Amino acid sequence: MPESVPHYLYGNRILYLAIGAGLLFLLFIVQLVRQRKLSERFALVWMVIPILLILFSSNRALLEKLAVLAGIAYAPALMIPIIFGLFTLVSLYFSVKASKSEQQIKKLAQELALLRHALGQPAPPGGRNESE
Amino acid sequence: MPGSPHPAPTQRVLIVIPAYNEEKSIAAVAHDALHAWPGVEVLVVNDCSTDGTAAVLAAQGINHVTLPVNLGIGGAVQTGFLYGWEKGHDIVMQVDGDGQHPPAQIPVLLNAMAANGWDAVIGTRYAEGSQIVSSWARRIGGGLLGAIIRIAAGQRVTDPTSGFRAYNRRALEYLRLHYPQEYPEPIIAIELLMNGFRLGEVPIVMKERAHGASSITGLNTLFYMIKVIFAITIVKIRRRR
Repeated sequence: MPESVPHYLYGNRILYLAIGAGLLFLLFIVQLVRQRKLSERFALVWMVIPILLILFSSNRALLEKLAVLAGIAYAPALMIPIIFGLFTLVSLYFSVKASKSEQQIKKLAQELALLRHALGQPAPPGGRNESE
Repeated sequence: MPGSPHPAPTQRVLIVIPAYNEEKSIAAVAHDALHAWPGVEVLVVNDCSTDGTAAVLAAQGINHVTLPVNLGIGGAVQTGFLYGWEKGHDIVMQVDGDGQHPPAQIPVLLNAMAANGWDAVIGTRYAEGSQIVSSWARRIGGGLLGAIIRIAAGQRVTDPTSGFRAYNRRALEYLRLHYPQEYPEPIIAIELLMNGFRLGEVPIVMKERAHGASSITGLNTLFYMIKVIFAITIVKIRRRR
């Protein structure tokens, strides 16, 4: 072991930290669901990240194999592209959901405006620009 | 002869006027539109204005719907199209609420559409015979967009950003379901052409906005162009409807 390289880089400390962070993240998601701030459906998507983080961090052999395949010498460094990839996928998933919700909200707003007109009910006074 | 109606008088025409914070101009535009064509119905779509647009419309007794949230120009115009479709209108026109599109020019579009058998017609500021009152940035941008549409859809459109348009019921059936929320004008032109609709253009005279300011100015023109070109590319590679 070269003198200039700290000892912990050769150990599993970063993996333990990743497991701890994953567990905390998992608990945080569960807490949000319990407080009804996050729906179960979306919670499951978010939980994929800490679960995979814990899985890779607790299985050094698997991480080493994947690191060799990816051409990465220091196996824990593989966690960076894995986490980045997972967050990207989750963000994309939610963007797709947001696009769909946008279409649904547009349709609802149009139907509401036309229904009010058909019923002869004026809209409430004053503009309520929700997009601002 | 622009002043005399060409299409069958039994054809029901709806003029949709999208309006967002147009309290100063909306009443005049709506009243002028009412007298632009015999038996025409006018519908102002108030896109959740934050000024006194809703109050003006109510006080003047102008036929209108008010959206509960701000949907933008695309969502507002589409609301009018849904209304026209449900009420059985044969032709639906779009006229901006800022006073840029003189209602006196409405017969020019309707007559040209009837005479040529078009499904849709755009009032253009740049074709031969029109009187141009527009900035150079907009002209160059519009020309470039027109060229892109020609490459993508095989037909020249001289003024793809013009919001002064008319559609027949065939086009309306398509547009009530498929109307882009952002940059609708050039996207609709290309979508109609790619889906086999007959699209024409007629030269018209437009005025400067009576009140307010256009969002497509200066550096915004560049960003607008980039976004629209991207949107057109997506339309081109998307599955046909």
